[in-house]
Amino acid sequence: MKKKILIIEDNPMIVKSLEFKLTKDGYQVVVAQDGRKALKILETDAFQLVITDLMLPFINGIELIEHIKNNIPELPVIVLSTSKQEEIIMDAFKMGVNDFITKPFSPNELSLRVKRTIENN
Amino acid sequence: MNSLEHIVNDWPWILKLNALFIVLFLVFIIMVICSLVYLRIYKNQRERHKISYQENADEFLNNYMFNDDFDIKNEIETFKSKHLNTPLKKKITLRQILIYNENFKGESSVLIKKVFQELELDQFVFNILKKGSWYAKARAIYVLSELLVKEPRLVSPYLNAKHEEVREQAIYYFLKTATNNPLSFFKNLKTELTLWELVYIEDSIKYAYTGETPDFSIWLDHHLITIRIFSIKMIQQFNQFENIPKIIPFLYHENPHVRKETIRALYKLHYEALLEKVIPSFKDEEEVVKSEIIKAIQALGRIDQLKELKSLISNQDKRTELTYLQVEKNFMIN
Repeated sequence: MKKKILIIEDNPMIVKSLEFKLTKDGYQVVVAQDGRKALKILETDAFQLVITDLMLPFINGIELIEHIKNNIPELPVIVLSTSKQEEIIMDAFKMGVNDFITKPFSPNELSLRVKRTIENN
Repeated sequence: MNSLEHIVNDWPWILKLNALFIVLFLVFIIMVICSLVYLRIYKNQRERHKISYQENADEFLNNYMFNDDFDIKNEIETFKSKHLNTPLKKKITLRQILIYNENFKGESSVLIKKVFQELELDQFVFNILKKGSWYAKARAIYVLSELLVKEPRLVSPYLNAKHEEVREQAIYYFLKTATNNPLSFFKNLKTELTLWELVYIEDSIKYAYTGETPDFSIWLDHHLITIRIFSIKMIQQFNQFENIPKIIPFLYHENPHVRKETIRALYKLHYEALLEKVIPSFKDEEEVVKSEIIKAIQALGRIDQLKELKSLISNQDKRTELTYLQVEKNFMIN
């Protein structure tokens, strides 16, 4: 059975590319454009990985990660963000994020990190 | 028919004129409404087309970057003939390429630059650069900068363009595409740089350019005063102490702004012999230079050297007087 990945990202171009790349890699990809939709999807469906931006409409990435770590602690999370501030990156790791990738990013590198994170979990 | 006859025959001329205007007005209103409806429909249709062109471009670009089974050679030819046959389609594909280029790095970024050339969109951009309006040219240069297309000979003439926006994009192009010597475009400049252009170049050198720091002293003999001043300032900001002997002669330059910048650079570089060179000429200096000499004393000198200058400041020279008082206060505090 295909491993399921939830992508939470509001940039349609990034969504399209990630969806394309990860589907080619053999994953089943579900997309949510904002934090609120992501929470709804997470309530009804099980995933092997979440890839999320930090700047999201309605519920921001940090709140979303907090929710995931409180309710589904075993679910690994990769952050994909434009933020290069050390503080934000440190905070994300303290919250239990598994990886942090800054934009602009290399889709091939992201694909490898996705594979490694899923395998490690 | 009868009523129309009745109007034509029996109505007074003023009523006939009124009726005519009413009819004309109604026709005009109907035409305006029809035009608005037509424009709305046209715009909606155009938007739908744009979305469909964008989706085609996205699908092609994603396959090009991530699909190992993609028959690149044939697909490129098909895409060119089917989806790049109008300027609008080319512009939309170009916009998508720029968005991907902005968001991706590594192998994907290299591929996106490659596909731009394989789709011959570079030729499309070159044509805009040759024949387009000034704002289209500015955008075309921006595209070449972002996609790192090395065609400096094509862009170089725009360094002296009439429109500031085009000039700025041309400057950005040379700074963005440089791997070393990012200021080489200075040799092609014919007009003085504006303050904004200077700030822009300075910022780009500090924060965007990643190559080796250039030796700014090579531009000290440039025919444009703004570039000489910029070079002196950069020598100081990048702590190029080895260039101190090269900027000392500019203490005696005919332009007061060059002298002022030289004094500032030298005291910030802690050139100890500066004061003995500039204090003797204080009396005859311009206001703008006098203030800088006083600041140099604050950085390198003593309060007695400052007090010697007090009698040499004219009552009308409020700027120098204010600087003097500020520096004197700082000496007292310290």
